[in-house]
Amino acid sequence: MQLTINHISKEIKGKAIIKDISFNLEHGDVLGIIGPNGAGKTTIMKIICGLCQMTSGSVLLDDQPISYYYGKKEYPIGVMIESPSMYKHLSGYKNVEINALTKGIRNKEICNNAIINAGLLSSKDLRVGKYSLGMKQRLGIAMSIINDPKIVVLDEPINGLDPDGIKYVRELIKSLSNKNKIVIVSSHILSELNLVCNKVCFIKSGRMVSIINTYMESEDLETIYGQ
Amino acid sequence: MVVIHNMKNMILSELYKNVTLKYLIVVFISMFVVISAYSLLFESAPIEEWKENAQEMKELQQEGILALSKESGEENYDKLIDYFNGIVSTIDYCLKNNIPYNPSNVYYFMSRTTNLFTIVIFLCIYLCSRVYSVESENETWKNLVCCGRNRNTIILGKMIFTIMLTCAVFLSYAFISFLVGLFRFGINGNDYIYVKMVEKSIVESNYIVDFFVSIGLSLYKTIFLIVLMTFIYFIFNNDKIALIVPISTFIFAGKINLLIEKYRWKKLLPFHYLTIDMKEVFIRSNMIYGFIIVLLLFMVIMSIGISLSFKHKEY
Repeated sequence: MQLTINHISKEIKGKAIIKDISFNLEHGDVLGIIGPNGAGKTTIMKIICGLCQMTSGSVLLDDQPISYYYGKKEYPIGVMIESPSMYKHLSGYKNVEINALTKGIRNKEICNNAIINAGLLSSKDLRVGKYSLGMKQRLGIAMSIINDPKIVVLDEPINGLDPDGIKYVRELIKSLSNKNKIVIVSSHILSELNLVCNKVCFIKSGRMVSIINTYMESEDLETIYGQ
Repeated sequence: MVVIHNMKNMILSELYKNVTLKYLIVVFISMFVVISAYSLLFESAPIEEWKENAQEMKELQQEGILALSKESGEENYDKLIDYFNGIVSTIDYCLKNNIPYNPSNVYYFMSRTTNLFTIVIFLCIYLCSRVYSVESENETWKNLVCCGRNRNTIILGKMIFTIMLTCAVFLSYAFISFLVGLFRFGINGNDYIYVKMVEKSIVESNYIVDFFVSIGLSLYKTIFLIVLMTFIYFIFNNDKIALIVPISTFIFAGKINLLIEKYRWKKLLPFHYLTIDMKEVFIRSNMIYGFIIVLLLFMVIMSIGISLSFKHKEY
């Protein structure tokens, strides 16, 4: 399995938001996207999962555009972009069930497991409107991987999480990588990315400054980012 | 098969997110209260008394005709006199053929509840607008777009669900009308044949058939208004405008139709057909084709607009 981001650019009203970004990811890769606010991290993620259209370039999964996988039984991408979005008037379980249905899964056991893995069993019948940010974040991540996707895109997944939550996300990303999934993750907390990513992409003003393999770098990310 | 399976799942997910127990209770109780209150406007009388009541009604009409005849010959009065004469002729026909005139029974009551269809139409537009606004309020459009379904499948699933919801509301309304009518008036003679004036001639008709024809007409108009609501929602990206435009269109369709009455192309616009009722269907039966075709054409055009707009939306 290979994800190829090929010279993608995006313009809005003549202003370039993303300029000529390219990289390749293979199964088991965990890519961290780092950059200041407004650099274009979320836009890159949105383009990969089809929320945004690119002005030029292509996103290919095993040489096929993402649109090729629409309507297929197993859609290969799981996404949590920006803050997790849920139906606040419904329970956590109902939200998982709805999310599973839209992905073609009609299996209560899978929904229950997702809730259990997210550590939300005791509050599964509570309205999401009453969830804390950390609980929503856990539920959002659980929903994004409910269909066992090959690529998982997580935008700021540890935002609002307590230390236990951060540990949960860290271990989850590692386990996804061990299962040969591609994980793309963005965060402001460089030390966290250092722990889970094997590749890191630095973005500034819509341009890719560099992409490094963290295992081959002797310095930590904060030092590299500072440079 | 995969397409049908996906569509079924999309529709089911819409059901889960939009229809809760609380929602069902509120909708059913509201309908029940409104229809029950409306039933109080009708008097419950044993079927044996219909001839007596019809005779009384006939005398009242004749008095009215006499009083109006004394006034100077204004056009409005002439129309009223014609109307009263029509009622007198209908009553005479009923008495002669032993067909109960306005019988106090469940079927007559159901035929009267069609007067409340405007409320049902507004209720449907509101409920269907929630199918879209629930996504905007919770910012969940991005979840739907990322679920791996073609955008046309997502929007088609929502549109099919709104149509199913509208049908369910109308059928529930019919069922509750029947229950309230049965409880308040009973079968009371089991007479569902009635007599009405169509183009100055008397015809026999059936309360039950007419009731369902009325439902069909209103249902079709409602589906048109819901497609309009969806179209406006995607064009303006605003829940409130999407709710106001179809309701205003329905309220002012008659007035707009009057404004464009002198133009021949008025029949190519939906306003003319949104004002159509049962009476007109019976008088001008060919009008029904225009009603179906023009509204369908507009629905298709708007659906294409919805699809194109949603396809290029970014979340």
